[in-house]
Amino acid sequence: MESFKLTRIFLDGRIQSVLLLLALGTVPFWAFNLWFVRIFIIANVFAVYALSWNLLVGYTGQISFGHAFFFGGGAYASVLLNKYLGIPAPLAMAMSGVMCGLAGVILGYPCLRVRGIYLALMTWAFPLIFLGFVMYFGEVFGREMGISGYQGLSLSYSVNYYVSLALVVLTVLATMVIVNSRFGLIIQSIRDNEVLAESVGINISKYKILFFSLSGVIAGISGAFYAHFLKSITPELLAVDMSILVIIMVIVGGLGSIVGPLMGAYLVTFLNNYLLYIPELRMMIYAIVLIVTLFLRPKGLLPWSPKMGSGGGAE
Amino acid sequence: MEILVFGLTLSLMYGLIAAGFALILGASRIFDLCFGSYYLLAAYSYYVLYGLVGKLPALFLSIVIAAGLAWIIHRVILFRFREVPIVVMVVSAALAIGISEAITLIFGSDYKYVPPLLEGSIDILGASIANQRLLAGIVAIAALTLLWLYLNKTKYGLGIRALIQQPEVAELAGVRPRNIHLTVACVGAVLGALGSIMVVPVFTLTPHIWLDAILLAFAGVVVGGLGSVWGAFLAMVLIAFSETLVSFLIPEGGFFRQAVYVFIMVVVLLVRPYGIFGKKEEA
Repeated sequence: MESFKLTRIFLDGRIQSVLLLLALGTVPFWAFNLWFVRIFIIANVFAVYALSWNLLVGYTGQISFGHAFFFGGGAYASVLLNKYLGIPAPLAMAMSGVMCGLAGVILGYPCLRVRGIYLALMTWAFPLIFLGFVMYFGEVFGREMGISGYQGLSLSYSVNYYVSLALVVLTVLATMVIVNSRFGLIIQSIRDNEVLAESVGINISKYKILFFSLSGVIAGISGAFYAHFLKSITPELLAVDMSILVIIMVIVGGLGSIVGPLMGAYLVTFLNNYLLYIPELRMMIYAIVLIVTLFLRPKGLLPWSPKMGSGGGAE
Repeated sequence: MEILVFGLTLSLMYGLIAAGFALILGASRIFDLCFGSYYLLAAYSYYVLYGLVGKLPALFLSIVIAAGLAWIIHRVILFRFREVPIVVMVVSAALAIGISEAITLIFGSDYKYVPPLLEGSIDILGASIANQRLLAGIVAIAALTLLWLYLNKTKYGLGIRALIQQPEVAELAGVRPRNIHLTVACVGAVLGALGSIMVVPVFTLTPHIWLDAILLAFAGVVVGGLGSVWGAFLAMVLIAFSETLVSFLIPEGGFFRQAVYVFIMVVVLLVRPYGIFGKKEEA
């Protein structure tokens, strides 16, 4: 009886999350060295990024193959605001989030017209167009060399870490609130049956664009934080790799849940940092990880399959 | 005049690439981003082999290598995921980036020079044009004619067309989807590889050219309509002429090439989501 209770305690989702939060909340104290903290910070950034993709794709069913647009766009926006207008870093981050949200609204409109594979192609194009601007207006964007020499958020790794953790927690809470609210219900009904949702009087376009924009805000802020943490950015933030990486994280972890993308992001970031010595083979290894996951657990990892943990993601 | 000749040869070369991709997509409903890898691998194997065995054998060998890669990828990985297009897209995109980075590891990311199959240039109606472009045009015409004969005059081609039009009925009538699927993947890869070896000497060879090929293929599929081989080819005529025009009007606009494809693609998606030559269908 006692042991039964003990296992129950460990299987309880709330207690798990408290333990996880405790473990994560004390990272700067038990981490072996600064390098380790740094990896954790980057993992947190990618966790937020992965959650933003998950919010769009896992719950609304709109596929984005160009989320690097928001991530890199947020980074560039925040850095430019900071460098040329002298806006302090935290404010610049927030402003870049707003700008990404607006961009999401603007880009969400053309995306309404297409779905499935075509939507994937359409979104694929966005970061490429942005990249074209970066290359064309080289004096401002710094071309391939990127931008550096702007203000970082803070010199202390601990401060950076806690800010990144706060972003993760905020994103998780926001996702939970949104998904379990009326919004979340509506958007999941659109995902599952668009025609039916429309027939009960839901304005599909409005909600689709809303979620596109929300996801853009979150991805933009994560990109902005990343930029201020690294203190230099390059157009690689806009590359196809960035868009695909986040998809791999979410799919390896499990689409349409909250824990899934988080775990995927941590896993991939840690792999990333232990594979620093063979940077060219990283993507190959992720591809293999992805394929193995899909072979072994295809059901649990495919979009909104019924076997998915606590279903549709009310997790 | 130059615009006409350049645009024409360019559209034939691009046509090969886009037709290969559209063939794979049409027959097996697989959105195979590794198509860019076949293109890339063919170019690099040609780059390695032409010094060792001569130009023509190198051409054939690299085509075989690309087709082999296509066969392996489709047989081992993509065929299993064919029911879920988005998963196919993610997996093949990850693989394609992986392969391109593996090639960076081996060859470095700097520009490589690949000699053309035919040196020199001739004047046609006042426009000086490299022999390689001319050859590429002729090869493209020959390859596309062969493709047409294959699709329309052989039993295998009949099976492929049946599979494109009505997968279930074709299967009932005894068409084996997996065989056809793998054959088509190889044929598509052969077209892509041929296109690659024709195009690469005209442009440059880096591990990133797979993206160019993929974007061309996208544009072909989007503009031409899903899975329509000839639609894709006609789309390439449009793309190639716009690209030639842009490069004549903006001399240093090399990096506008991708922007041109993307722009045309997005515009067509907005105006006619099912492609200019495509039929309206739920996709």
